Amino acid sequence: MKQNGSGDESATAADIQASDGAFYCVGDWTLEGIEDLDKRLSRKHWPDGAIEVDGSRIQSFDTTGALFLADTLSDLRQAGHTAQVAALRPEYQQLLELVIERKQADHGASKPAKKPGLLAELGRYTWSKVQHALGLLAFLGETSVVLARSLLQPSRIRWRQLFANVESAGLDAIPIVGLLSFLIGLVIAYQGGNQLRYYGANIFIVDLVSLTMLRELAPLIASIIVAGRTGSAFAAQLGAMQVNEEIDALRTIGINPFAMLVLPKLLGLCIALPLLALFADIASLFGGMVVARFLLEISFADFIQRLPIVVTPFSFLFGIGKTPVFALIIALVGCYQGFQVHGGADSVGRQTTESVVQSIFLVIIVDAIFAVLLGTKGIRR
Amino acid sequence: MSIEIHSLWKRFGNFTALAGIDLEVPAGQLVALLGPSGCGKTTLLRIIAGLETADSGSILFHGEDATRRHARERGVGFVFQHYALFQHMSVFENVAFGLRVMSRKIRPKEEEIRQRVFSLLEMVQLDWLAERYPSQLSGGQRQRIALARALAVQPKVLLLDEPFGALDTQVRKELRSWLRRLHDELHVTSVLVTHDQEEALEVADRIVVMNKGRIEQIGSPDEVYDNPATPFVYQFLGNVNRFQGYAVQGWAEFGGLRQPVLEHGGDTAIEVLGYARPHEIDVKRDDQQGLVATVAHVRTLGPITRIELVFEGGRIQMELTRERYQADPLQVGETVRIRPRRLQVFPAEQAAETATGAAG
Repeated sequence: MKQNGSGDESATAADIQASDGAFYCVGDWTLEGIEDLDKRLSRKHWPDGAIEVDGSRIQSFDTTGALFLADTLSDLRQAGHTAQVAALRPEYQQLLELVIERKQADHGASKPAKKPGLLAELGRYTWSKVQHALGLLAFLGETSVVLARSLLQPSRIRWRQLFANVESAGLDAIPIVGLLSFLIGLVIAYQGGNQLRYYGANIFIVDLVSLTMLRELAPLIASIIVAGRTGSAFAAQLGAMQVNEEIDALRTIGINPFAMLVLPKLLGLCIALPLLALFADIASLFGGMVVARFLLEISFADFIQRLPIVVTPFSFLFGIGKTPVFALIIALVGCYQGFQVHGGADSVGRQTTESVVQSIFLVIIVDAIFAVLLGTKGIRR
Repeated sequence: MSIEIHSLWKRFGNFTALAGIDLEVPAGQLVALLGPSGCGKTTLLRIIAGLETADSGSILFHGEDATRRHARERGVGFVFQHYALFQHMSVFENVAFGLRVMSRKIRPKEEEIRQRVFSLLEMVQLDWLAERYPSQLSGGQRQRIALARALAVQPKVLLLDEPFGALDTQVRKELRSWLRRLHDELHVTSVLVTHDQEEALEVADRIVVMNKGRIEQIGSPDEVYDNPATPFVYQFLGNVNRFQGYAVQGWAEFGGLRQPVLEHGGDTAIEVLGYARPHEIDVKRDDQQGLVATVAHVRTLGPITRIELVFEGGRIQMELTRERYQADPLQVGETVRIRPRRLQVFPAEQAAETATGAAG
């Protein structure tokens, strides 16, 4: 068997020779034989179009020779020829194929891909975002269908899971939402109050705190906390189920994973988040009241008395009314990212992070849209 | 219930997972899909279950077209490699789950559910674990619970995706023979995916050997082991020795071996490869025929002795029973003649086609 090339000193130099319009590989295509083959080949002139290299005159062949032959062929192909080898002995052919296969595998694994240009990167990034948006839209569609079907038959809704979600997303979040809203109310009142004091406009602290918090900040704070707490939990839970093939198991048992897993989360959050926002309203107003009382000498009673004059029902409902939309976004993104998990546990972490970033991003965007659309409506002058 | 599959194709991007699969699973049989990883066997199983959709082709359940049927309408039980038990439910609830979620009209009464679940748990010999949670069970126990859960809804087809792949060897062997006994009792049409040839040979009625999205051979375990249709099947099912040679005028020649080949009677010589299993090789000291080889290694592994020999065309592995070897031991370095009792010959091109697949 000469398959692995004779290593003796008398190796004849490998070359590709042209005769009667055909190309023949000759000599020893081994480590010794191909020593300065690249120099010889670089001087070679190749005709345009198809090139067929005849391998029948190769005397011996080893992996180095095979690699060289494979490289030569791929160089030719890159230069626009259609190049191929013919009449190679079967065992050489096998070796060549093995080398090509390994080379490709190696290429994919270790060689860092050439860095794409800025424009290409931008394009790819945009395309991936568009794909994501389409995926989310399809997810919304599928959820809507299941939701519509469930609303026609309320007995099919999994009420127990729904209320379990209300508890974990809403009730359990009350301490943190309360504390943070209180602190934000406090800070806003403190910063604003210091300015108002110079003008002796102390009483306007009520306008400042109540409108800022009720219309914008309290619902936003509640939503962001819920996105971080609950949206990520949704993604992680569904992602783990995806990894364990539990979702596939549900499908084969005959359960629609949307009805069983997504819907109770979605509806639960749509109930819990408005309630949380209401609580955030109260806590933040309380924070404002504390500052007003001790910094600006406005008593709790004065504060509360002025509140209904400043805050119209519209202002209040504008703040609370946004939250079911936010809840929808958070639940959808969380569940969607959970279903996007493929492969192992590392994917769960990635999609969970993604779900938090995306839902907070979308919540703020949608909030801005609301603010632009409805502007200063409902604010008394 | 029988399953028929007609020219099924499935691509993932540039990768062709299934390239025209035609397959028939007769009712009541246990069929194993066997192949290296990436050969498309799991994809095929998931398409049968309705968890994945094929690009083209059709699937018939009991003669009825089920290609477009939803997973939940197909009435299949699926056992996953990683069990896929519901972590937050007890063993009892896991098995009962499929029954609990049936629509009210066909759902059995609570008492009947209880009975059915317990009889299933008894069948998998784990009724004493009913109140435990999946995280408290061992891998083998979990897989048996998963099997009970799949059977609870009385599926017409049972699909198993490498069910013993994540278990250790001993448990695996136990569960294998247990699954075979269970199948003999229930006779539910089953498709088992595995990359373990031993598992397929032991459990299945029929074996479907797959490679690169195609079916290489379908047959009973004995058929595929004794008469592999292609070099790939030879290499995938058990160890095999390969001899290089050529064939001309109805004879194949490998060094000092000659063997008639009816397929090639022509006058031009072609390259051929001969395949022989390690236990199909005889060794003699005083024979004029056969390949000359030198003993390189001798190692006894339990009941068999494995001998490695070197000849001019490469290395050969052969296996003898321990007793036979000890009756006439060989010395390392000794020169002997070897002769396969049986040698299957394939044209070299055919072998080259599948060589890359065997490596994967």
